[in-house]
Amino acid sequence: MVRKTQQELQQARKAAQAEREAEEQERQKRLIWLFEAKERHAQLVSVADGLYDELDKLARKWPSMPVTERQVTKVNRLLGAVRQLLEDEGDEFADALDEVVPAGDMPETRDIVLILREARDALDRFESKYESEWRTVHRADG
Amino acid sequence: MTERPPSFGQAFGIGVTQADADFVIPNLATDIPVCVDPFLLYKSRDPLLLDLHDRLLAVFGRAFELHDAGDRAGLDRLIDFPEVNAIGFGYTQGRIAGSGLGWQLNQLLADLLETSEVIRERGLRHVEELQLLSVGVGPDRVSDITANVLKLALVEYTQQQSELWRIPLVSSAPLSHYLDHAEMEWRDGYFDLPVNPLSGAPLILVPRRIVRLLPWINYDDFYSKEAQLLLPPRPQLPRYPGMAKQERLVIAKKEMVAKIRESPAVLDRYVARKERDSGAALPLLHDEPDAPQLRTTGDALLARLAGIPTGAAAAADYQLLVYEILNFLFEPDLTGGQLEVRTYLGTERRDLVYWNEAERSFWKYARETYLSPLTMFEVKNVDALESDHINQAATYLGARLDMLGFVVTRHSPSAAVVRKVYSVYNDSPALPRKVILVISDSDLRKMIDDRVAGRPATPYVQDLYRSFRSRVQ
Repeated sequence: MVRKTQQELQQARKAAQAEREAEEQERQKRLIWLFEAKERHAQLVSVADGLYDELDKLARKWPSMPVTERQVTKVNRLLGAVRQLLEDEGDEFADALDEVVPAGDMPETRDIVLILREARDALDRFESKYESEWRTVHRADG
Repeated sequence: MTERPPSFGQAFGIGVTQADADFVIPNLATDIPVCVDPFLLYKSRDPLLLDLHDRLLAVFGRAFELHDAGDRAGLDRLIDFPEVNAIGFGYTQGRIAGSGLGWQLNQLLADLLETSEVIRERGLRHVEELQLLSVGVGPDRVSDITANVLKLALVEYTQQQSELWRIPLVSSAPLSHYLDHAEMEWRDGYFDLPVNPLSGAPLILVPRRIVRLLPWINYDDFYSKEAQLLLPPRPQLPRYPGMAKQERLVIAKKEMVAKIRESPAVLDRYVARKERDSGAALPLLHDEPDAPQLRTTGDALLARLAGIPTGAAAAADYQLLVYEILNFLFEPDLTGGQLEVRTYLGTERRDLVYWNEAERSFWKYARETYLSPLTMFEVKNVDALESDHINQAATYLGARLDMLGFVVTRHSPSAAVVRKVYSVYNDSPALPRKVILVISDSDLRKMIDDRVAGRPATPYVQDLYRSFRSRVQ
């Protein structure tokens, strides 16, 4: 039986240590991402809910009323942020959340409400996917 | 039973209808109750039309000078605007010959200048103001004045349209009373023009973009909106149920004209308001095509579109058909379309260029966003569009023309061509970036269907643009 030399044992220990450190780094990175994604998700849900509620109120009374430029700017900012958060998730419906291009005519309020609803649903799907991991993050954080 | 006179298309054996023509189709037997409105020259984005408006005012500027110099004979010679029977516009029922403003206007103008020093100093900002300053000038007279001064430009336009639509021209047809702008003298001459087969007189075609039912600035409009400022206030009587309606004070035009001459500030206020509201001043014909006419024209265009083969041999036919279809779809937003437009040095040639005079929706947005009143269409009668075609269109786009252009072709573009269109957009060095939208025969068919169904075709192009912008993000 070949006995490992002291030097070889040291090298093996170092390699195992490096591997553990790399794994730990990966785990930490993942935790940070999960934490940031959770924070960002909560922020976007808050914005999306606010915009949805306000525009939904308008759409119930004046569904075909054109939205304003300011509303389009705010909705587009939200859609861009949602698409960015969900860009690697393989969610084709989230990828299709294109920004609103008025091109001379503002869209109707009911259409914007529909788009906001799609954005909210995409954020819900994202939450369902990471919910259990977020609880872990919460425990680790707490 | 009396026989109906032939239509313009029947008389010349061509398939032109008002729905796809850039000009007002003349009625060969009678005047059409519309007028050439100088305000549409004034508000145009086409430098040629703006220049014509300046020339129109220059005639009256010269008349003011002649009056100041005491040259009454010169004034009489210059201010001479007989009705232009060749265009066939007027409010006379049943014939192509009104009275016009021959020698009368010089008397009216001389009278105006003699009685109103304020007007002498102020000058005219719009020829239409004469309606408010002189009892004898109405909308038809404004049209006569404009048509006389524009006659040479209209002759040139008639020759271009005749070539395009293959309307036969009669060589050296006599034409009286056109203005030599350099000399400010009226002349008679001979021009190659189509001739009315019923009357034997020459015909002059007028672009529909400068035609309205009534001039944008007119006396009735003034009277209903601004004249109250010149009238004494009405006594405020108590009102009770059953009381007779209080009659509005109506005063004769003669009295109103005298008041305007005394207080031209009211005229200034009215004209300033009309200039401010110029977005609503749109060309309008007395009989816009109705549903059956749209159906007939739309079906004819669809049938021709289906019948033209791809390839170089039929390229000219396809180009002309696309021109007619775009007229059908987008007039008056896109107007004054010209084929085979060469650049300043003649190095490049664009298939089709339109003036974008839209006042609303997508075309207005396109003009304001891409900072150009011109819109280019390249026409490719090929089986499959290639990246080189897109490259060619991209080189045509630029600061001088527009950053938004269209390629009209027979089939939807391949994925490689679509990628090329995106790369043209992404590689544009400055804002706004170059946008090329491809319109296929299938798109044209859908838009024709929309138009025939009484819906505007513009939203379809707007959706193409939105889709492009969304995908390219």
